[in-house]
Amino acid sequence: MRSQFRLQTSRGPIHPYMAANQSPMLFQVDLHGVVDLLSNHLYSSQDVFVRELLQNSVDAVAARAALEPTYSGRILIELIGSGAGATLVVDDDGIGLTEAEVHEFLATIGRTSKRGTSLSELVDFIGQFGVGLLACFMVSDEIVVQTRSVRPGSSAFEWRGSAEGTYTLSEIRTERGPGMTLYLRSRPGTEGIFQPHHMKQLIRHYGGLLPVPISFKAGGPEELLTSPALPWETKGLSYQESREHVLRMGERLFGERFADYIPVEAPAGALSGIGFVLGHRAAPNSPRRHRAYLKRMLLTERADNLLPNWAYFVRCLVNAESLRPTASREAFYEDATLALVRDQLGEAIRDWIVRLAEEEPSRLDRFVSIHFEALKALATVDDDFFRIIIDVLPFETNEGVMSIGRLRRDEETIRYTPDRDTFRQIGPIARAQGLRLVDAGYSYDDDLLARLPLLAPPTKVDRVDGLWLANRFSEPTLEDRSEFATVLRQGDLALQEFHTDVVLRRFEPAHVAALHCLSSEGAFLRSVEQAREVSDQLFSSVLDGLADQGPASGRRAQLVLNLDNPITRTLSRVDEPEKLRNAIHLLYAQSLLSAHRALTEKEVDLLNQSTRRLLEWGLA
Amino acid sequence: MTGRTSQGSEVDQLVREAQRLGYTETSTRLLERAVEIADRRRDKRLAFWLRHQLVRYATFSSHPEIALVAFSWCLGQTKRDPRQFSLTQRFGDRTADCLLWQFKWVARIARFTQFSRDKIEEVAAALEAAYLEQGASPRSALKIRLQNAVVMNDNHLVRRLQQQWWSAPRDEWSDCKACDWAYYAECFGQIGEHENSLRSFQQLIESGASCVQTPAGDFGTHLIRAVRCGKSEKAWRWHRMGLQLQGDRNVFATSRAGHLAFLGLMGKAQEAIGLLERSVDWGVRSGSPRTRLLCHYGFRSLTQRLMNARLGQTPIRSGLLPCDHERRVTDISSVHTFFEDDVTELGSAFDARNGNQGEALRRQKWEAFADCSVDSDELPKFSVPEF
Repeated sequence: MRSQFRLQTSRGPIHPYMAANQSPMLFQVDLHGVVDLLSNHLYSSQDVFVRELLQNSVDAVAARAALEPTYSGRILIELIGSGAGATLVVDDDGIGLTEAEVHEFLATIGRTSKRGTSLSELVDFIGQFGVGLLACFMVSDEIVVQTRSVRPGSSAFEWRGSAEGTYTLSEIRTERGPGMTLYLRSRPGTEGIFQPHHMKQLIRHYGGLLPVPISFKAGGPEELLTSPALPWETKGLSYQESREHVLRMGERLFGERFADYIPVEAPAGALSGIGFVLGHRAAPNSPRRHRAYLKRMLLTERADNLLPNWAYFVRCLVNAESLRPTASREAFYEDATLALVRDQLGEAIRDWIVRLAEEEPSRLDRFVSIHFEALKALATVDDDFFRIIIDVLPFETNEGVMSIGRLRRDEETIRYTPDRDTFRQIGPIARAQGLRLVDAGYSYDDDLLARLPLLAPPTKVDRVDGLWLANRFSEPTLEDRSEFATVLRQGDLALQEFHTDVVLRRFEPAHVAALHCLSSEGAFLRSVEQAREVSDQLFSSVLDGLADQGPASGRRAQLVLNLDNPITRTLSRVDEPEKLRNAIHLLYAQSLLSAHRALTEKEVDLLNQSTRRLLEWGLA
Repeated sequence: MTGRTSQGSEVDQLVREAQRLGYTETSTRLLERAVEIADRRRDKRLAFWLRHQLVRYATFSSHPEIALVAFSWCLGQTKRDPRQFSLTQRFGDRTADCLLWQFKWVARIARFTQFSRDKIEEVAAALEAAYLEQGASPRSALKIRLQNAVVMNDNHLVRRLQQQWWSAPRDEWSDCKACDWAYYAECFGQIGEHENSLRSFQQLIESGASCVQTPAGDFGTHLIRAVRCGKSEKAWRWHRMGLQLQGDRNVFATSRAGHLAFLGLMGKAQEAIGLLERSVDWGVRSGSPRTRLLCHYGFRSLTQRLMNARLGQTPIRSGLLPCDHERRVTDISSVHTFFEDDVTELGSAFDARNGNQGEALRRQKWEAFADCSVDSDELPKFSVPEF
């Protein structure tokens, strides 16, 4: 007699006012629809049926081991034929099923392991057999199972399930031991999966770390595909041997040679494994692909939520014994335990770095030279780590790359520019004044330097810009002020429409005639000005609105004239106001170009006209 | 890069570095630098492409003012030289890789207090005209008007536009489904329909739909609602997921405020102070007054709770807020005062522009919320103010 697959539902009446004589009805199952749901929406590929089969066999072996302490199980997978019409046979000597258990476990969809049945009490299933078996219908139209329970006096049964949604069960007269043998015949369109080489790869891929011996046979002799130890357990090997072993394993699994590795553990998820340190600088937003096993079965090669965000330079190979998988069992479920595991793994990586800092400085230096950016990221959120690592972190300065340790030793106050533009402009000039500047325009540098005084006293820091530098230059003498009074007056008038003040200073190098100094607000307003020049009426008025939020004074830049420069000195000897304004305009344009600023259309026009006038006067 | 710059050039390096870092303030600064180089070279085609990139990076690093300026320049070029530049010129495979798409990001000028209601409508009308010219559905323009209405606390208009927008046909110019769904949920919150808001957000999460912004920036908005609905366990899970997805990107400042207010409500002072310290400057760093205001409502709610718990003297680091500049340290009480003054000032500016008392009311709600415990009977079930 053929029976229907059943859907597991609540035992009692759903509605409290349901009349006693109203018998609850069972949901109907459209098995085709369910299989379509699995293959198209739950699982990432059809290959996962191999994982489900392995899981069932491993669970059966574990269940029998719980009953018989001396028992050690085995699983044999045989592929008979290949491609179209090939048959896959999965045989285990595990606990096997009684007739009642066959109905309960093979033909009920949605059965969980927490119902206190005699079988599920024996082993902590991570599989859900009903759903797992359904995965086989993705590649086969019929599943045949022969089984005999290990319980004394049990008979053997044959169960035949069809993708149509029906199954038969019959007692069979056969001399078979306890366990289960499952037969699958490949469905047209799945020939590629049923190739010996591919099948062996799939078994290794999903089950290579399983603790039960799994052998594979395809026409030839049996081949053992598993080993009892986890691959990162390197007992009996020397330090160098185990290091090479682990790094080679990383290369094989991830396809790249790693620079180093970190043994990691997270008690919260009973998780252990290896964190591989990338041999190249990684991008903070690069995909994090960790290879994760759950109870030694491959869960995913793309776990992306295992490590804290800052640890993007590590790729993990881990096995967890007590994390929760998602429904597809292809990722870890995001819950409090996983959050704790993430913290513990982050701590393991951090502790490794700290240990390097204390015990192996040359190894740390190599590591820092590649991954300083990630270390900076961690130091921005971890004060203790900051204190330990900050001195070895490299920073760009106007005297070359230096560690913070060196900077702190040399100077009480570390001065830095918050962006690279400012550094480019004033770095060389500051150097000429004997002032060291750090370029904090790189990721995290600004934040790290800002925290130095608090976390690494007595160091002080000073965030500087062009206006700060101008204030460090020598003031003009009273004679200079008097001599250049007209220049200042005419200069202010000439540059009024460019919101720029003219000031006098003396500074090195003398060949710099003028310096254009800008605040960050001033820089933004220059970009507004540029956009406004090309905008229509509507957007021009919108930009006006934005500019109105700028500095109230309207003057947001300085043209610092260098009195040590011979060209600048000649300005005081220009008698005619028009020629003086022209010279100031030229100096202004030149200072903008030296500061690598893009000229607005108005400024280009100014430069052209000033040059033309100069030529005209020269020719005349 | 799309081959627009020579390999190894400075611009190329800057762009690649920005791309490597993702959407951060540093990346935005790098692209500004690249734009400046292109401008200096008078290479308009390159400058156009770089500004197109800059609009994206500035938008997703919470600097809409920079995005607006860069966009305006590009728009100006399309009008000056339509043969060379156009709104629909694509710089990638997606519809979103063109200036017309970016118009939606910059057109929400209601977030700046200095723009009048008339100016806001003028820009929305310009966007509508540009989209209609391409034969697009009115959906995109309706959403911009809806977003402006939300910012202006015009709830009558929000109610009307929400339905109009939601029922308008989707087309290739429509925002992704995740963003639309998240915003649909947010609108319910704005008009006080908190159960609908939560339900819509739950549907979004269950659907698995996501993009660069969504749902990373939305969990914080719904945490307190979830607690109020008796779903504390779910709220904790969303809290963790949200923080994990957000990382340290200040574009999620508003959502971060929700996470902090949640931690305050749940009495997790130590965790809250740690998280506050990591994000205390986010509101100030944002170029959007609206983001800053919403962010500081949540921050202020937390600092009020911390003050109530006699933790006002707890030191906290800050780079931008008023502090001992030599040591870069301040305390909860000082930042609380700063947030309080800021929400008062900014809220008043928004109310003055909007012509209503929406922000004053919101501020009162937040103040009431800061004094209530998680199991307080005094709070109506859904009285927690929306973001």
